[in-house]
Amino acid sequence: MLADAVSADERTPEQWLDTMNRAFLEASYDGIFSYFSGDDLSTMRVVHTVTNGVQRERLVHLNGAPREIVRTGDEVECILRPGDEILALESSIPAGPFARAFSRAFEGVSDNYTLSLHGTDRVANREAIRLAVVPRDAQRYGFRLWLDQATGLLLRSELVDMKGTKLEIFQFATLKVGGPITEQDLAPESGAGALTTHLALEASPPQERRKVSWHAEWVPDGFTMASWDIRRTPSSLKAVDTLMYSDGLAAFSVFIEDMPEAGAKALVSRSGATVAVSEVLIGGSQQDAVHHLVTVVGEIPTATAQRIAQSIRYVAQ
Amino acid sequence: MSEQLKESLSAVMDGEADEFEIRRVLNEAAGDPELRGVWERYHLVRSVMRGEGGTKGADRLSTRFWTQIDSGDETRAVGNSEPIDTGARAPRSNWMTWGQRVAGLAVAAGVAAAVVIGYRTDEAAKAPAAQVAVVEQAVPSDSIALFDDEMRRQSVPAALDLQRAHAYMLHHAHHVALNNRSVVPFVKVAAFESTK
Repeated sequence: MLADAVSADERTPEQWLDTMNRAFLEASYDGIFSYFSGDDLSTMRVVHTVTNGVQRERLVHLNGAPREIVRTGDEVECILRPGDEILALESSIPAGPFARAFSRAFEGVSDNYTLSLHGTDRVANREAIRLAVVPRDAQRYGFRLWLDQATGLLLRSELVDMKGTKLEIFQFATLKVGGPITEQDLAPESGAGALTTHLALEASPPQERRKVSWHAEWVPDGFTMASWDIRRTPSSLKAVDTLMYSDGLAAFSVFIEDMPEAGAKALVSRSGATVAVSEVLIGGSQQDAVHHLVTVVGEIPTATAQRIAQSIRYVAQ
Repeated sequence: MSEQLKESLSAVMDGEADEFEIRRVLNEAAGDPELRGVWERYHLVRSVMRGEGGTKGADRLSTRFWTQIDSGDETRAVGNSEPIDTGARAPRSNWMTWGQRVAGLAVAAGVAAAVVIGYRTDEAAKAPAAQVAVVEQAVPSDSIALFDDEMRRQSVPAALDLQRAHAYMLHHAHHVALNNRSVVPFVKVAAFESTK
C-alpha cells in the first residue's frame, strides 16, 4: 500500500503532506480520536476503506447526542436524532464545478507556509514524525502535525495562532491501519427515531448558477476564490450570496445577505479556531441604498476576517 | 498619554487586559489620536518583527514552534535567546517587558487586541465607538465579552445575530467538509455543539 518512490526517511515535508493526503483517501483504517476545539472536547470513531475504487467512511460521535456521518463515494448521510440542532442546516450543499479546487490540497501551500520536519514522537502507540506548518504572515494560523511514520496518516494535529495558543487539537487514541474493515464496521447504528439527512455532492443546475454580485477587494495573499454560490438560508429562505476562498490549507466563506428585517449588528463570535465576523454594509449595492449584512467565517485570525468583511463590495453585472 | 493608560494599552496588546481595561482603552482611543498613533506604531513594529517572508525569520519561527512543545509553555529561548512568555496566562506585564518582548522577537498581541483596537480602520474610527459586539468563546487568552454601554442601551445581546453566526459557522464547516471529499473535516460538523 502507499508505495512511495521515496522512503520515509528521505521524504521532504511536502512529500509527507502529500503522503498524508493520499493515506487518508486510500488507506483502510479504524480508530478513535479526540477533537478539542475551543472549550469542547469530542470523541469519535472513524472507519475508512476503499471498496472497488469507492471511498467509504463512517464517523461516529461517541459522546452526547448520537450522530453519525456515513459517506459512500459522493453520497454523504448524516444520521441524527430528532431535535438535534444540526438538522436545521439545509440538506444539500451544491458543490458546483469548483469542488475539486480543494482536492488540489497543498498545492501552493509552501507559498504561504514554511514546512519543516522536527524529529519523531509517539502518538497512539505509533511512531510519528513531526511536521511544522508555519504561516509566512499573520493572516493565517499554523499547524503542528504528527504523521504516522509507517503510513503518513495524521495521528495528531494542533492548530495554533501566532502566540502558540492551541486553538484546536485532533488526536488519535487508538488506530488500526490496513486491517480488514467489515460491513458491520461501516453500517450506521440506526437507533429508534433516527433521522437520515442526505448531503449530496451534486453540481447545482446551471440556471441557478448566476454569478454573484459581490467580491472582496482585499483577501490575504495566496487566498483564491474556490467557489461561489447563491443559496437560501435555512431559516428565512432568503437568498445569500456565498463566496469561498482557500489558500490550500485554510479556508473562509463570505456570506452576503440583505439586511435582516429584525436588523443586525456587527459581531465577532469565535469558537476554537473558527471565527464569524459580521459587518453591516451600508448601501453596498449600487442599485439601491439597501443595507447588507456581510459575514465572514473561517479558520483565520479575527482581524483578518474583519478586514475581509470590510472590503466586500458590490460588482455591477 | 498617562503611564496608566500606557500600561493598559500594553496589557491589551498582550491580551491580558480585563473587560474594564479594554473598555477604557477603547473609549480613550476614540478621542485620543496619540494613543491610536502609539497603537499603530506597535502594529508596525510587530509586523516588521514578524518579518513577513525571508527564510531566516521563518526558520526561527518554526524552531520556536517546536521549542514551545519541547520546553513547556512557561519560558523559551527565541532568536537572541531572550526569554519570553507565551502570553497565555502570564503574570501581567508592564510597559518595559513589552518592550523587551519586541527586542526578543516576541509575537505579542493576539486576537484579543486586534479585535478591540485593530478593528478601527480609518473609516471605522469615524464611526461611533460602539458598533461591534465581541463575543469571544473558549480561547482562554482571548476571552472577551465586550459590549459597550451605548450598545447595551440599543439592544439586548443579539441572540439572533449569534444564532445566525453559528448557522454560518456550521454552513462553512459543511462546505469545507464536502469540498474536501474526506470525512475528516466532518469532524467539525459532527462536533458542532448542539446547544448553540
